[in-house]
Amino acid sequence: MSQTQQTPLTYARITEDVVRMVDKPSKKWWALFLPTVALVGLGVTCFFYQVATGLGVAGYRHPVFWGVYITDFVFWVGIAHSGTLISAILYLFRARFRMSIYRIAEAMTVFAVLTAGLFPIIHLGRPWNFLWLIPYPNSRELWINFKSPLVWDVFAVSTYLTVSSVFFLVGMIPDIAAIRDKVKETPRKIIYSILSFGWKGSNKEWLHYTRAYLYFAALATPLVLSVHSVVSWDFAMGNVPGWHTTIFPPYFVAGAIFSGLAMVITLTVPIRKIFHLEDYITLDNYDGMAKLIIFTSCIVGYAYAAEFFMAWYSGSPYEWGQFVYRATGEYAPFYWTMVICNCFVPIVLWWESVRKNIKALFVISILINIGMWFERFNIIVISLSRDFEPGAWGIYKISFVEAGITIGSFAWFFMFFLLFVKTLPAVSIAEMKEILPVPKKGG
Amino acid sequence: MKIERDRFLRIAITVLFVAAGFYLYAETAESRDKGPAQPVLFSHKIHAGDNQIQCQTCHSYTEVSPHPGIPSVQKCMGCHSYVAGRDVEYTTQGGQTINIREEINKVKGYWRRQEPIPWVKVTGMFGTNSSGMPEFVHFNHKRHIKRGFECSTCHGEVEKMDVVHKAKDLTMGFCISCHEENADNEEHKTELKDCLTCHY
Amino acid sequence: MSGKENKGKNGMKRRDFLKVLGVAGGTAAVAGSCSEPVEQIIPYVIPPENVIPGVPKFYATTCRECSSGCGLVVKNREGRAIKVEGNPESPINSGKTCAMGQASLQGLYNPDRVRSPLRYNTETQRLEPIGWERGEEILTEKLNSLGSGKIVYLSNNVSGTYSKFVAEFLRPLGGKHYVYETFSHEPIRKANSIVFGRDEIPSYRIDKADYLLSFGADYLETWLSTVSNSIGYSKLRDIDHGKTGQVVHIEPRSGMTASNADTWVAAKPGTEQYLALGIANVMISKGLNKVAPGPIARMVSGYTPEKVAALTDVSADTIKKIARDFAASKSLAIGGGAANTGSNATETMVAVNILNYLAGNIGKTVDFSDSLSISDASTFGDMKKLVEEMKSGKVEILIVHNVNPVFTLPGELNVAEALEKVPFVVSLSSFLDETSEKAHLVLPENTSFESWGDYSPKKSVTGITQPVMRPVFNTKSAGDTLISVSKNVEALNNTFTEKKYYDYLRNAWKKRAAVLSPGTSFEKFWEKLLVKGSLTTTPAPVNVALSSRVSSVSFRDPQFRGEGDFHLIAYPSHRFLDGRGANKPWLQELPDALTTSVWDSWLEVNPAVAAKMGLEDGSYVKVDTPGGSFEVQVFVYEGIRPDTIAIPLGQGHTSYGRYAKGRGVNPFALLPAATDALSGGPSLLSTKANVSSLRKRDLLVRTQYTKSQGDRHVAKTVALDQIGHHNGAHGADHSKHPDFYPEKEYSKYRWGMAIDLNKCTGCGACVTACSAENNIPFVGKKQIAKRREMNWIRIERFFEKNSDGSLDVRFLPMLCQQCGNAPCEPVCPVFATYHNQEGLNGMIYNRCVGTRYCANNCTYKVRRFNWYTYKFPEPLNWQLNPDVTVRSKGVMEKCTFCVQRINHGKDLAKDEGRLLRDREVLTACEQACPSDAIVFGNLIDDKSRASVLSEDDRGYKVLEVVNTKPAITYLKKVKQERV
Repeated sequence: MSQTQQTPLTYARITEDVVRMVDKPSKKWWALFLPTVALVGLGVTCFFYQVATGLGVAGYRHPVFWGVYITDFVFWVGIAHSGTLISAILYLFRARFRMSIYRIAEAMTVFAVLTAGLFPIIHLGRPWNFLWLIPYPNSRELWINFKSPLVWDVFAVSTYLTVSSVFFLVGMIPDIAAIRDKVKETPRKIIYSILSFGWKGSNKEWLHYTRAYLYFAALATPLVLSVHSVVSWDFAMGNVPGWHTTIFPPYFVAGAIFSGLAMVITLTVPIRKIFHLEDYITLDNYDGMAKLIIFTSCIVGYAYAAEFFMAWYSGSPYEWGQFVYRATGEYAPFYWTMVICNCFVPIVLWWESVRKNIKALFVISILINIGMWFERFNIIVISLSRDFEPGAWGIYKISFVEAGITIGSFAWFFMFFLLFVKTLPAVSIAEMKEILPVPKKGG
Repeated sequence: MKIERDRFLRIAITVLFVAAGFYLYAETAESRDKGPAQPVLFSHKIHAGDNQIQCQTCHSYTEVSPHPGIPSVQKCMGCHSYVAGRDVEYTTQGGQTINIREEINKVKGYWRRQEPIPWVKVTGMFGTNSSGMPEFVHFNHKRHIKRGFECSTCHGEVEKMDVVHKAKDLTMGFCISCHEENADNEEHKTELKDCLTCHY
Repeated sequence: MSGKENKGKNGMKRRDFLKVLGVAGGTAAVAGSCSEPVEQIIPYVIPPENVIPGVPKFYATTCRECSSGCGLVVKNREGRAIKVEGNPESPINSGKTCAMGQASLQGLYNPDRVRSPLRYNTETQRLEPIGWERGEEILTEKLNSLGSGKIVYLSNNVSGTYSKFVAEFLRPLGGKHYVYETFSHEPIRKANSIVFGRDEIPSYRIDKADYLLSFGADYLETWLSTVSNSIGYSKLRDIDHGKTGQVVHIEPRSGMTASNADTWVAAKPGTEQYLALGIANVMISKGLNKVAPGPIARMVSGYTPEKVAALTDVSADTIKKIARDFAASKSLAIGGGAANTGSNATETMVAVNILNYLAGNIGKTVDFSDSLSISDASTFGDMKKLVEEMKSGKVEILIVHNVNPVFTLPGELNVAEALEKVPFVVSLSSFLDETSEKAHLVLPENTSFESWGDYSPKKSVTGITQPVMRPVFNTKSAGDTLISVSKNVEALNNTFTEKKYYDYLRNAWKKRAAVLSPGTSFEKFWEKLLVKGSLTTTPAPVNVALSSRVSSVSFRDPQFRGEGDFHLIAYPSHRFLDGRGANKPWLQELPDALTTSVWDSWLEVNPAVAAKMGLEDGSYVKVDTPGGSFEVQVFVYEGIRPDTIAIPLGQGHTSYGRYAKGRGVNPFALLPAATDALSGGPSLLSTKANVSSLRKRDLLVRTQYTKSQGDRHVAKTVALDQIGHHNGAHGADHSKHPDFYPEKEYSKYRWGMAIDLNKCTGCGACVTACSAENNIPFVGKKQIAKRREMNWIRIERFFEKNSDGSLDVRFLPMLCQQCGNAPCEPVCPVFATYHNQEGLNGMIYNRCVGTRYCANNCTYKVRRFNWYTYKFPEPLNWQLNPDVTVRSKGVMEKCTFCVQRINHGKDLAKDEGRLLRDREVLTACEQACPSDAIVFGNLIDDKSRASVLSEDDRGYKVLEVVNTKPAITYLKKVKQERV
């Protein structure tokens, strides 16, 4: 914070700063990385214990057949959204405040999808049968059921993973080339050489590159809307009271962006501090994101209200019973946590001083993440625990295995993220240079 | 760098082809004793081929039960109390050499001890049970025999095998294609392709 | 045909049983260099005659789980009994069974059976295995050295040839045979003796009655012959031209039986006699009696409705109404249960008899010509004397056979201590229960499924028990043991000429055959008997007249011991009876009809009391009685009087195998040894208890926590006079729903079901039958606490309110509805569940990947998921149905209308080139259902019973609004004008 802040940003400094980030890991980094790996180990242990013993070790029970794993799945898919939103949609809108954070957001997207994709598999009784969800010719002459939203999920998530990874990797090419040119040791040089696809920085290359980037952005943009819409159909296509509603796709997409932005803030605040990126990720960036959070929070809040209204207005005892139960039943604390975190906490962001207060933003973003996790939990678990058949109603409780795997999934996500900041350019060198004022001669 | 990559590719492709060839060879080789080793080298070729004994003589429940039945030791002794077998060397298709009378004496030994013969189930390659009929498949021999199918439709030319092995892959695709071909009409086809026909 | 070949000389050793299954594979040797295990096929050494692998054999036999003596047909595959079904030929149960009967195979295959003879080792103080030879030798020695003391044979009701056999065995030894049944209904006998001069229990013909007035008799649960009663109840519930029978139940608590009655009258405990007398009083004073009252008029004259109302807590109007209806219909009054076990039980039964007499029911609904064999059982008074004799050392040898007096006799008698005073105790029981555990020698008997015998539950019927498979363990039938022993006992040298009990049985039947069918050869007679399973004769009619002794009865007030605030009712459970069912996991896991509790005991407490004491479901309380105290969890239940608490019997075993031991409490242990003065019957309901809160609470493990259905209206009722008046609420309604998709068409079959809620009693026989047929695992209490029970059919129970505020209990059997528009189907990503051309919602276990979306989307929540691979401990796994895949972890499962039975039926029909006929295939639940509430059939066939019932005016689909188009039609429960 002290030294670097004095010197103004120059083309040279940007390159140096970024290359410095991928330097040898510090002790601090290791102190973060090792516990993370240990927690991943915890998750993996829990997973194998579950595979060996049976899903009974999770908290599932009749009638709640989906629980924390699907909550985690939807949560992580949601997190994955804002990455592409920031990098693709804001790129198309030429929103300049995205430049410094979009790389981090993109990485977050890729890792979040990687994490999310694990959960449907963890959730299966026998994970190795996951293959059967993929249409491939087989000796049984069996095909998959294209009517099932779960099959759409497979396509949506895998497409999203593919496109966002490609977008992520392509976007990094010039920056990796810059690092390649700075790095001396052979093995690293080889890796960066491969990843930079022989980038030389010629005009022709830049021409193609920017074109390609634009097209990728255009291709990724509809996916932002489609993926979470498809995920929401997992529920909306079911007939469970509390699920079966047309509001879900926009509601889920808004919620996803909401939680995704919160996660970007949660991630960038410590990185900014550790790598001294105050000049790159500025308070104006945060201000922009906070405004988006206010906007999506309003949509989410509106959706909560609309759900309630529709449940009452429908006259269906099942729908209305479900929503009354959410607010007053055994799970009421979860419900009100969600409402407070997602609707009331973001209200403070209307004040500019809060929007520009890093510490406050950090706390608020974490609260929003918690609230959004509970939103998914509430939709999934509370709806299931009380649907049509009164004789079957029952309460779901989280087991330690589920908790372990959930913690493991966060660790898994952060593990990748820590590796990312140490190996790849976390801030876009090229685009940061684009927004610098053109230097004066001799400057 | 480029050369190294090519070499890797060449090695990979070679390995792939060798593996595929090995697999195909193992799958299609008909003339070898690739079935599992049995406690008694019972040759279907001698019984059903050379001596023209009908399948149902020993597998006697095919027309009345879902299960064909494995002949009891008593059934073996029904003939072998009289047929002692020639005291000659016999070489199977796979090149195993046995003494016929000695093999028959093994059966007599089981009878004397009143023990059942622990036959090994004929399944997939290398004696694994990887493609044997799993327990969730309910195949009804009776229905197929009554409909007039030959045993060989599924079991192959057992009368030509010294050591019985799996002749058809008997996977679900095999069942389904046969059910499709043999349906009388569309409605019948739906019935025959119904999952609950075999899985319950 | 017969089970003879099972026991043939040329069979194999039991040890080899597993090996010689003909088709079963075991994992054994490793072939060559490959490390994968190889499956083996083990053929028979000698194929048993008439056994074709893959084709089931059926053996007729008789159920010996209780004293009802229902006829059974046992399905045997490859030498193993795999399913029990009712024998349609049996006059007792007409093909139906109860849950206990269905679970009887878990007695046969119980892993905790005594596997070989045991002898008490004084050094190690444990029962240790010995050989049969040695075991019999010890018994022989003891019999030879019998001194001046008595020899006593204590068994359950073994009426038939065996009781004669025991008599012959004991006669030279000067021994005595006690027939001990925990519930032998002495007061009924005694009252009949007093009122009609007949010391027996008649057949109560519920099937012939239109108006059933029960004084505490839990005829749907444990009272006399429950399956028979349920069949009668079902007939009574038939609706014919807008008319149907009526049931009034008088009991301080509303048990399963009372809950099915049209009116539950919660009279004060012990005052049932006054109520009956009050009704009689009204009948006579209003001239409603059909028979001249004689001395009765004087006896009941003092019991005016108003006076009785004050005594019983029942309004005078109710009494008058009951009297009018009772006199006006083909009625039947019965007494039992709580009313039968008070200190004035005999008087109560006398009063009940008076009602039957006045209404002219004797010879009509009360049939003395066909009395029950349980009439001959020893009374509780006799047992009390026996225990005294044991204590005083008068009994030298005690042979215990299939009874468990240590557990079932009141704790005050202290049978365990009495047993220690007996020099030599032999147990012939199959299980190490609390009594056998105290024996010096255990010579384990075959279960009734493994041995020959006969049993006569009532005069007109003698059922045959034949071995349905060879013995599972190294056990021997009791008859064979005794014959074998007798050969070396001096006194018994010439008693038996036969070598085996089987020969003795045949000789006895030869004599009967000579009388019954003199012309035919015995072999033919015998064969016919074995095929049919029972012999039915027509008993001679008897004339019953009022005895003069009736006027000698004076109706005393009930006596209670203890100073507590509550009357304690310990009632027999419809799952365990007196506790004998507790070692069968299916019964432990069968939810109790009212509480849906499993694997445990509970105390029923009225909500008002609970509120006052701060109790909730699952609160722990301490119950103090003069005989001791126990701690138990509370179930808050509206169906019990505030001055009464109730606890089921049957749990609280300290032994009796892993499934029974250490679960719940045994109220027997606390009950006084008081008797009903006149009959000598146990006075179980004579205790007052105090309840104190222990201020801790835990989950009372149940399968349903919802008490009321609220606004969901899944279990519907209709008023009797409204039937036919609401304009096609059923038929027209669901065709009106607009639909995107074309109507599904079926060409040959559309399988469907009709369930009559007016007949369903909530007994749970269907649940157990389904478990037995479909290899459904039991999961234990811990898993059920997590709601992971696996039953494919569950009986939902809802406590609602009648218009007058009284309790209305509704039962709703819930199973896969085989929806025509199933929500589960489109969401499965891999087509593991789909709709087939016969209207079944198929579930393909091996295709299931376990996303569980189907279960979430199921409107009826009838799908079950295998959270683990559940184990069936050896040899319980012998019972598994080879026609049904055993599911493993990660697989969804559910009811498919017993598709294996449908396929089997279609296979047989195809042999004859025809389609299935109606009633040719029965689902397991339907087959068992004792009240005939479940009817399965082809809905395309207009004439099939299921079709006809589905079109019934009472028909409705559960949650029709979701438009799932279920194949199951429920028929609304009928509500009548209440008393």
